[in-house]
Parts: sequence; C-alpha cells; structure tokens
Amino acid sequence: MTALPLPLVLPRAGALTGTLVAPADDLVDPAERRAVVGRLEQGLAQLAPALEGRHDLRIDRYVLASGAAEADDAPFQWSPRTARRLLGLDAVRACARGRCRTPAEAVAATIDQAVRDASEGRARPRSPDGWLAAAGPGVRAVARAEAVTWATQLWTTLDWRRFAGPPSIGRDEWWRARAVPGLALQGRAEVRALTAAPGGGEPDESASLRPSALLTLLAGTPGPTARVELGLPALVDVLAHPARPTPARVVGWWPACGRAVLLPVDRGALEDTVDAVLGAAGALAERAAIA
Amino acid sequence: MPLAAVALEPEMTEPPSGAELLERLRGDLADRPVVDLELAGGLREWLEDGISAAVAGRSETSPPIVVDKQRLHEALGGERARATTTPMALGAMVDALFRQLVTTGGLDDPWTDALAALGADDRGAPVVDHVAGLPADELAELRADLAEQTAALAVRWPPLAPHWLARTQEALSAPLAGGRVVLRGVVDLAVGGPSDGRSTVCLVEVKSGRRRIEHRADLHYYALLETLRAGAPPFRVATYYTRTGELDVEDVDHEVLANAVRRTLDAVSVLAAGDEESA
Repeated sequence: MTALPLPLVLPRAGALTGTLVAPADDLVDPAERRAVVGRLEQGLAQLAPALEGRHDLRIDRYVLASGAAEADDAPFQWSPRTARRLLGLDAVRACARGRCRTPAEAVAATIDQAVRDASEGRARPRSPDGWLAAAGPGVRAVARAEAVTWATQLWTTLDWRRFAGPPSIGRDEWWRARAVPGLALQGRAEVRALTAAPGGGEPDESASLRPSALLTLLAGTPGPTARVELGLPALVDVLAHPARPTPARVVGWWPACGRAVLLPVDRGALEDTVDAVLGAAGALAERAAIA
Repeated sequence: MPLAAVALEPEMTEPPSGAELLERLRGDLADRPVVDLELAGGLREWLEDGISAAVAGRSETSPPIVVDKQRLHEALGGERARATTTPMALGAMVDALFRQLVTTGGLDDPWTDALAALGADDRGAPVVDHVAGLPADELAELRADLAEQTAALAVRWPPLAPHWLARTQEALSAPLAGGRVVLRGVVDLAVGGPSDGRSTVCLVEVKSGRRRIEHRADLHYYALLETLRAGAPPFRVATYYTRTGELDVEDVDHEVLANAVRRTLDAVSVLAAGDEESA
C-alpha cells in the first residue's frame, strides 16, 4: 500500500484518474486466487457452528475498521447521513451520463424523483425513497444538503473525460459463503473502471479481459486498517465474479484531508484482507456466543 | 501568539445583499492569485516539525490530540465551551436554516424546519433538548430572534449558481505527526471547484451573534486546513452575520496562513503539555 504522492500540478483530478486507470496486468494468478478463496471458505466454515441461526450479519469496511466492535444489532434507520451516499451516487451517475450538469441539480432531481416514486407506490427496495417522502421539508433539506456535499466531493475527485468507457458508479458487490449463509461480505467502491489498454490504445475487443480498477471514497483520515478496508472490495469482486480478472488496484480517497492511497491488488493484499475478514467473523461468533 | 488587532468598525452603510453580496464573495476572477505549488507542502512541513516536537514526550499509544476551533480557542486562553445555551441553540438553528436556504433556495417554516433538521441527527439532540426545556418566555424570545434573523437572511442571501459547486458543512482535516495530532474543522459553506492553478475556493462561516475578533482566527484556521488538503489556498474567507447582515471578507495571503500555523502550533503545545501533566 502506498500513500500516493499527489503531484504538484493542479487540478489533481487528472493525476488521480490517470493513476486509477493506468494499464495493468492481473497480479494474481488463478492458483493464487483459488488458494485465497479456499482459505477464506475454510476459515468461515470453522466458524459456521457459532454463527448458525444468525441472519443478516454483514462484514463491510466499517466492521473491519472497528474490529467488529460496531457490528451491532441496532436496526438500520435512514437519516441524512445514511442516505447521502445513495443519493449522491445517483446524482454523480446523472452527471456522468450527461443528464445533469452539476451535483446540486442532480441531487435535487434525484430527491424529487424518489419522493414521486414513493408517493405513487413505486419506491425502490432498500432505498430512502419512502423515508424522504414521509420526511418534512427541514429533514429533506438537510438530506439534500448532505448528498450535494458528498456528490460534489466525488464528482470533483476525478476527471471523467479520461475514462475510455463509461465507469460503473456505486454498484456494491456482495458475497455469501455457502457454509455461513447468514453472513454477507460487502464490497463498496464508488467507481469501477476498466484499466486502460496497454500502449494507451482505444477500447478494444479484449476489454473484458483487462482488469478493473476501483475508487473508494472514505470519511475522515486514513487509519491503521486502511489496507484491508481497501482490500475488501477487491476481495469481494474476486469472490463474486470468479471469471473476471482480479481488480488491478484500489485507490482510496479521503476528501476531508486530501489523501490518496493506492493498493495494488496482489496475493499479499488479498491474504491480509482474508485475515481481517476472518478476524471480524471470529469476533461476531464470540459475540453470538456471549449473547 | 496573540492575534494581531484587526479593525472591525461597524459598517455604516446598508448591509450587502443579492448581487452585491455575491460580488463580495466572488471578487474579480482575474484577480484571483496564482497558486504557489510549494506553499501547501511548506506549511505542512512547518506544522509537522513543530507538532512532532510538541508531542515528542507523549507515549506512542496515547490517543491522538484532536484539535478543532473550540479547542484551539480554549488552549489559547479563550472561554471554555459550556453546556448548550440559548444563544448556542439559536446559532445551531440558524446554521441549519442557512444550509437549507443555500441548498433549496427557500425557507418556509423556519422554526419547524430547523428543529426537524437538528433532530434528524444525534449531534443536534442537545439543542433540540435545550429548546424543549426552555420556559415559555425564553422560548418566545428565541422564536422571535430566529424569525427576525431568518427573515432578513432569506431576503439578503442570494441564490448561488449550481456551477459554483456550493458545499455546506464540509469536513476538513489534517492528520499530522503520523496521526498523533489531527486538525479538524467543519466549514459552513465552501464555494468554488478544485483549483486549476489559481485559487478558486471561498469559505464562509455564518454567525448569529455579535461580530467578534476570534471569528477571523477561526476562518484562518479553516483556510489553513483547506490549503493542506487541496494543495491550493482559498482566495477568500468571509463571515456572514445573520443578525445584522454584515459580511466580513478577507483575502487569504501567505501571512494569513503563516499566522494560522503559528496559532495552531501554540495551541497544540499547550494541549500536549496539558495531556502530559494529567497523565
């Protein structure tokens, strides 16, 4: 893992985008992938008895950052802060596809649509649509403000003209182990893009064979668990899509402090992330035993 | 280091509004300074050197010293923050409504909307609780103050064009000395996109109380954090006083940032020494 030395050029978005999509090889060979996946599945299978009967357990980057201390059982509730990422991603998608010119316009349109859909009985599952429709103007305004700030940070992080093809924006990946069906791993990346063709050529027929690169936006400042927080979306990609090339890299971006960290996805990065996931699953199993 | 005295004469003219207010925030694009690409790195090194020395006696396992504008103020001899007071509640409500106005362009029911906005987040709970516990006469006074300030705000504050990329309550931070000290802040309003070689950002703080000298120091601290994170300083900082409509605007130059570094280092030294004494 490397703290990216941001170059002394402005704007920085071009350099960050260039680093994200630079040509890359798959750094993990198939045998290594099988070994990593096998070790994770074996480790989770050992914990299966302790986690039997538990549903909706999730390991995400917050759980890894807190050592599973925050994997509490409190029911999820929508709030301006929990809704901002989903609303912000919708808005950035609208900007990237040219439907809106700015995040502020896009968030306004997103919220109007969400409220309309919910009012007409078409709220999207697991979306804040119903909550927004029921909220008063004060709460809706602060939800909109949070989403605009978040979306603007993501929108201005990258130079969107530099992607050879349209990047995937905010599609989270999930994976469940057969041995522990109540436990899901969540890989969050705000942007998934194909790495550039070697030699900087145009997109070609081999595009599907090129590894992807992930960008993830994080709050606060990089902490001691940053390596495995960045490794998690790459690991989940490997688990959920066995036929795809391993993602080449994950770039973590902390907009509050302007820090970028680059994680090349090699066997070591995946192994360290497996260790962290097994550690978090073990902590969840201990808590289940105490409860 | 004490703050340099700044003349803060009351403005005798009408407070700015609409296009005039926008013009004072925006300035002349051609006059915005070219970014010195070495500046942010130089400021960071200065801070790193000073802070590393200040925390040299602390244990590696000590929790980080987290510095925000209130802790800076207290470390340098300012008044300690107390439990929520009615003026603080008014400030929080005005902040929430300013955010609503900037984002949606309107304020329909300020009292209800402010309390709802604050109630939507755990951080606003102390304010909501304080307001709920006020006796009837103080509650009426708070309602009247809020109504007066927000009515004037809605008339004077202009809509911001979407391409200004306005962000409200934007978090800024700077981990230093390997994360042993973290400088933090949340700025009420930031406008302007990422720098393309010239300074492009203006930071605005909103105050519901009287004009005070410390408000400039708060903004200088935020200007420092913005410079460290963006690699480019803001071209301007401003405090907007909702009670009077005054706008206190200041251009950011090297001296402003240097003073913010000195003040931050002084405060961190005090905070680190205090931690050692209490250990």
